[in-house]
Amino acid sequence: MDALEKTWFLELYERHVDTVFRVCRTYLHNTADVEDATQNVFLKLLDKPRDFESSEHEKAWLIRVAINHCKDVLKSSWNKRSDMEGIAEPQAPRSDPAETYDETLAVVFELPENQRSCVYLYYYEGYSAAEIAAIVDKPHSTIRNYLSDARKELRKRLGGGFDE
Amino acid sequence: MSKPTNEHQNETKLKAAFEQMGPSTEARERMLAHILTAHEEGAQKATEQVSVATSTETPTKGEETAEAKATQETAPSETSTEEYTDIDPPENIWEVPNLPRYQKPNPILHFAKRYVVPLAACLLLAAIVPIVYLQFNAASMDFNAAAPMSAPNEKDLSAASPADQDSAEGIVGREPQDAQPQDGQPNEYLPAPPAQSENEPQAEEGRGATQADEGSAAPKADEGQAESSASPLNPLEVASATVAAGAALGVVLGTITLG
Repeated sequence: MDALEKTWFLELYERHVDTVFRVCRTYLHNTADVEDATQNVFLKLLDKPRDFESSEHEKAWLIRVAINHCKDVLKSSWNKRSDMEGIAEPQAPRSDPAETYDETLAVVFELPENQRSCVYLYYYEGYSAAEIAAIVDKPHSTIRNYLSDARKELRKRLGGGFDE
Repeated sequence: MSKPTNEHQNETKLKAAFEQMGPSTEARERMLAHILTAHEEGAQKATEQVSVATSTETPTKGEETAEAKATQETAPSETSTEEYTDIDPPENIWEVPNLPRYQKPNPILHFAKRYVVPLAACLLLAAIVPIVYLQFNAASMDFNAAAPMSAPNEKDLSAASPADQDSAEGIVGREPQDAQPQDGQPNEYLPAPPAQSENEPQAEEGRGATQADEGSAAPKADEGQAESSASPLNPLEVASATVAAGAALGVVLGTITLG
């Protein structure tokens, strides 16, 4: 890796590592898994560099790759769990016991995966429903339904309301 | 006004919660270090694979790489025996012995050798054994029929126990003195009168009445007994038994042959 490439990558990493890490966290609950997933996402970009149109394009690509990678990890871990079902020990709690989240985050983590990532992208990253639909490659109506269901659940659990 | 504030509070709560999810500074550095290391390792492996691929390719004329030259320089020459002077190398180690080339067997011949010949042998055995046995049985029956019956039967009777003698006498007839009618009374052990009436003229011509009884009445009864002893079983049963025995023998021999 030459100096120019390294500089480019370091800047990109600093810009998007938080986003990628958080997206991975919405899917995976183990900190080590989240770190592994984040590293893999950036490695994919580093192994096959791309020309992005803008920083937003870059970010959207990384989010998309992160979501797909996390889904793959969940699929494979589910397969491992089902294969080892006969001899497996009682399952460990899903969230990392060392980490304590506040009540809001605990409620968010109880949402289904798809709703969780949509809530994150909508309320934290500031994407619109249409943009989220483009990123996760799902219909706009589906994203709106996800957000609506998530709001209902959060209202029920946290009280108050949300901006529609 | 309370509702928008409440909504804003919830959004703030969510943002704060998601903010917590971010990586720590240590985690960022650790991940970055891992990413760079993994990328360098991957690049190194890729270059190694490329070099291996290029080295395995046949070099064109006058296109010998520096690596090939280096390997030629470092590799020991075939004629140098500095390190292995105490070992006598065999003469002409590269000479390949003139071995016959392997020829793929003909599948039909292989099948015939493997299956058809043993099966034919088994069937032949299964057919021959009962035939031979039946021939031998028929020959023994002929021999029994041709042999004189009186002498062996007498011997058998004399060798038998008294009880057996009595029983045999009851069937065949008693000794002449017992069979001899005394005081004109008929003997209770004698056979039926019609047999006696048939034998009487011949007996009177030759020897005496007692001898006629001895020679004619007893052998006739013995003949019947000899026939029954020569063919104790039904011929059909004998044939089936021999066929079965032959088949079993054939199967055993076939199994041994195939095995």
